[in-house]
Formats: sequence, C-alpha cells, structure tokens
Amino acid sequence: MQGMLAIIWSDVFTKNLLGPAIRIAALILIGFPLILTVAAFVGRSTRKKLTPQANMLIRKGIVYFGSILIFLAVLHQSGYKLTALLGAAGIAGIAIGFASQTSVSNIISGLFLISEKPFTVGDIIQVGSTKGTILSIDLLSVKLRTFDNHMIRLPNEMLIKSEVRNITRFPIRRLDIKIGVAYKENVGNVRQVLLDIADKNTFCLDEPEPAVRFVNFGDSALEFLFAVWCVREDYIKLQTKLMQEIKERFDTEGIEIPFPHRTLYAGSVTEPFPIHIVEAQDKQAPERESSKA
Amino acid sequence: MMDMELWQPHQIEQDQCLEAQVGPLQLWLRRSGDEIRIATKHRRDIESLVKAVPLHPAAERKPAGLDWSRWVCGSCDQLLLTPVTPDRPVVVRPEVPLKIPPGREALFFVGVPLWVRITAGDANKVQLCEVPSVTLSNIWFGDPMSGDLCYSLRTRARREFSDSKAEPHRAICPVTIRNAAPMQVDIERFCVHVAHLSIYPGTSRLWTGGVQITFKGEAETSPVEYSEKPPTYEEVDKTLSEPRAPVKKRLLIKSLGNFGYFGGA
Repeated sequence: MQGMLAIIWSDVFTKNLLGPAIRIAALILIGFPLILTVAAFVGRSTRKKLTPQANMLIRKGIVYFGSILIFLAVLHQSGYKLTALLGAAGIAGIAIGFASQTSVSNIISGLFLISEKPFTVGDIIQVGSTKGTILSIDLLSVKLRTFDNHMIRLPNEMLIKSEVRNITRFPIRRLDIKIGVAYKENVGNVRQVLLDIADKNTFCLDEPEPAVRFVNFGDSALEFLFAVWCVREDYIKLQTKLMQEIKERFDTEGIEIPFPHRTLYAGSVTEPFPIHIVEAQDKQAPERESSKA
Repeated sequence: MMDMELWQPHQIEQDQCLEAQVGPLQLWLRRSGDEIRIATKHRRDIESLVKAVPLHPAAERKPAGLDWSRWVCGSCDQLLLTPVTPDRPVVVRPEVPLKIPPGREALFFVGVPLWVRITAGDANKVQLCEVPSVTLSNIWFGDPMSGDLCYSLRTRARREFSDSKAEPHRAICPVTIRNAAPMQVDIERFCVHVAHLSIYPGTSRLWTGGVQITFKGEAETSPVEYSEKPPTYEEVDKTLSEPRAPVKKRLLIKSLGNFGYFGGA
C-alpha cells in the first residue's frame, strides 16, 4: 500500500501527469465560466434585435458548442485518441439518428419557424380545429393556451406541415355574417337597414366600409353576406352586439328571417290538397273497435 | 373676444354639485369628502350644439339617473375645464370630394370636435379625466395590414370659416393642401394628427394651429407641417392648451389616403 502511494505520488509530481492535470483543471475551471459569460454577453447584446426564441437558441448554442469543445479538449489532454472516439461517435450517431429522427425533425422545424416568424408569442392561431393563444415557441414544440384554459403542445414538425391560421397577425379583422331573409322582403330595404346598423355600431369601422352582398337565391331565403370591419381587439364585442342589433332591428322593421321550409304542390296548380279534418270522437271510435278485435 | 368663463377655474364647496355644458356635452361634478364624482351626458338636440354654459351650481345636489365615476383627489376645492384635441388622429372626409389641379392649393376650415379635460386642485393640479364632447366613430387609415386607428369626421370642408356658427365644442383647424405633383388630385379623405396642435381662443371661436399637406404624387409620401403659431384669421392673445405631442420637425407621414388622380400636366 505504501509502495503504491509512493508510486502515485512520484507520478503526480513528474512531468508525465502534472502538466496535463493542470491543463485539464484550467480548461474546466476557466473554460466553463468563460462560455457562460460569452453566452450571457451575446444574449444581452442581441436581446433587442432578435426574438426571445432566437436569443435563447443562440445562448444555448454557444453553451452546448463550447461544452463539447471543452470536453474534447479534456479528453485530448487526458491522452485519449479522439479518432477512435469520433469513429465510435459516428456509429453511435447513426443509431441515435434513427431513434431520434422525430426530435431532430422538430428541432429543424423549430429553427425554420423561428426564422420565418409566421407567428409570435401572444398571437392567436388555429391549426385544424385547435385554436389558442401562443404561450411559447420552443425548440421542439409550440405551446398554446385554449380559450377554455387548456394547454396544448403542438410539435414543430406538425406546424411546418400544416396550414396555420394566424388570426391576430393584422390589426383589423372582418366579421362576416350570413343572413337569410324571406323572399317577400325588399332587397334594397334590407341592404339599407344593415348598413344603418353598421353605421350606428360603435365597434364597426367607417372604413374599410361595411358591405352587404346579395349572394344567393337560397332554398328558403334570399341570402346576404354582411361584412363589417373592426380592430382585432373588438371582434368578440362586435359579433355579440351586432347580432343582437340585427335581430332587434329586423323585428322592428318587420323583416322576416325564415325557417328552412318546403312548399308542397299537389301536382296540379288548380286543385288544392284534399284535407279531411278528423274529430277527437271519430278518432277514439276506430281505436276501441280495433282493440276489441 | 369670446366668453372664456367656461375655461376658467371654479371653486367647488364640500357636498356641492356643479353643472356645465360644452356644446352637446353636459357635465356634472360633485365633491364628496376627498372625492370628486363626475357624470356626463351627450345631448342630441340641435340647439345644444351652440350652447356654452360655464360651471355653476346644479339644480339638484344629487341628480338622479346618471352614471357617476369617482376620483380620490384629496382636498381639491377648485375645478378647471380645458379644451384639448382628440386622443387619436382625425380622418376628415369631405362630403363632396374636391379636385385640386397641379400647382394649386386649397384651404379648408375643419371643425375638430374637442375633448374636455377635467382637472382638480389649485397648486397641485390633478388631471381627473378627458371626456369627448361628441362620440366619434372609428376609422382605419391605411391598409388592412398596417395603419392607424383614427376618428372619422364627415365634414363639408368649408372654404370660409364664417359660413358656420361658432360651436364651443369644436376648434377650427385651417388645413392647406398643396398639389405639387404634375397631375390633378382628388381629395376624398385626409388625416390630421391633431395631437400636434395647440388650441387658441379667437374672437368668436376656438382655433387650432394650421396644417399644411403637400401632395407630391401617388408613390411619394406627403410632407406635413404643423404650425406652432396661432392662426391669423382672428385675434388670438393666448394658448388654451398645448399639443399632446409636440412636433420637432416636419413629418413625413401618410396623410392623404385613397386619392384618385388623372394623368396630364
């Protein structure tokens, strides 16, 4: 035991191990703090010029890249042959690549999303039937908060492949309301009433101007498209108030919104359908007879 | 000079209610303890448009049927009403679009509806609120992807200010549009950033500083100059309110929108 200690002691204080040990210690003690300092400095410098996600990517990239360099340098100082390590890493990389292709795809998709900026934190987006406010745009996924307060995680790969609707990208929005009125109504009067409603509504913008389009002779009604504009923050308030105002005003003006209906003809326009009115007593008598039978 | 009593400070006693009218805007201000309570109402009759009634004791100490707002402002025994410009730009839309040939200019007198700023206190003034004298509708000036939310003002865009009656809730803004382009320009709407304008009392009505817009062509931005001096159409001896946002240099912002022009010299 004492002999082993003597050998180790003498080896440490010879040039064989002392130099590399000092260099490894210096790499670790100076290298890691230096990497963190550089990452923090670059992060502060680019904070105002880049989005928070891009800023985070750059900082993490500096830290991970610097850590790998320090690790390789430590291995080199320790006397390991890096060529063998790289060879093993190559083989391992192929195996890991097959296993993590989805994650890598998400990371690459995330980089494209960050550079393309189809949306930012705070925007309301719709992907398929999912609609919500963006909480964060991360390396692997985007987190949404739905209006009923659920958290939804959308993989970046899915967002790159799908149609993403950014509802709040632009400062104003158009509200389209489909309205059907009875065939007996005066089209000009309906148009005038709707434009008057828009004019009096405080959330409707005067310009872009509200529009009333007569779009179709429907099965049960004359179909109109009523389009009004508002600032995006007022969309819900406008929708609620405008629908109510249309209903109230139509009631006041006597404009009918018909239910879907079908008109039946007997086959000859001159002869009406034969109608036989069944009295209550007549109805009960056949039932008693049938029950006796 | 016009009657300035409407814009003078007034004392308010404890538990007293004062009433004022600035055109269609009726105001009630009540002092209760260390609170000032404010209620407003907009009248719709035409006669109210020219009415200017300074702060005076209200007929009732606690008028009913009003929606009151409350401010805690300590021992404030003095109230001041000040006319200020709207808090957003105003898009002026002449009822009949005007055409200006190349090299010519046109002067319009636009009646800008004012906001009434209510301030309490004497030495240490506390701004309580600003109330619009009329409810203006909103309009988007720009394109669907970018622009400014403004107030919409339909106007006859008078060429003479004496044509109209003096209304205490409006300030006349002289707007000059100069056509420096080689083609005729149709003026369908123009945007005035009223935040850069002061308000002055004239002999018969309120005024703002002048605005000059130079149209240089469809593809160019129109330089806008906001005058820091009172207009010279009536005698002005003081400033009632300063601009919300002072102008330091000529602005190169879009002020003319959706105009049409015809080719030719």
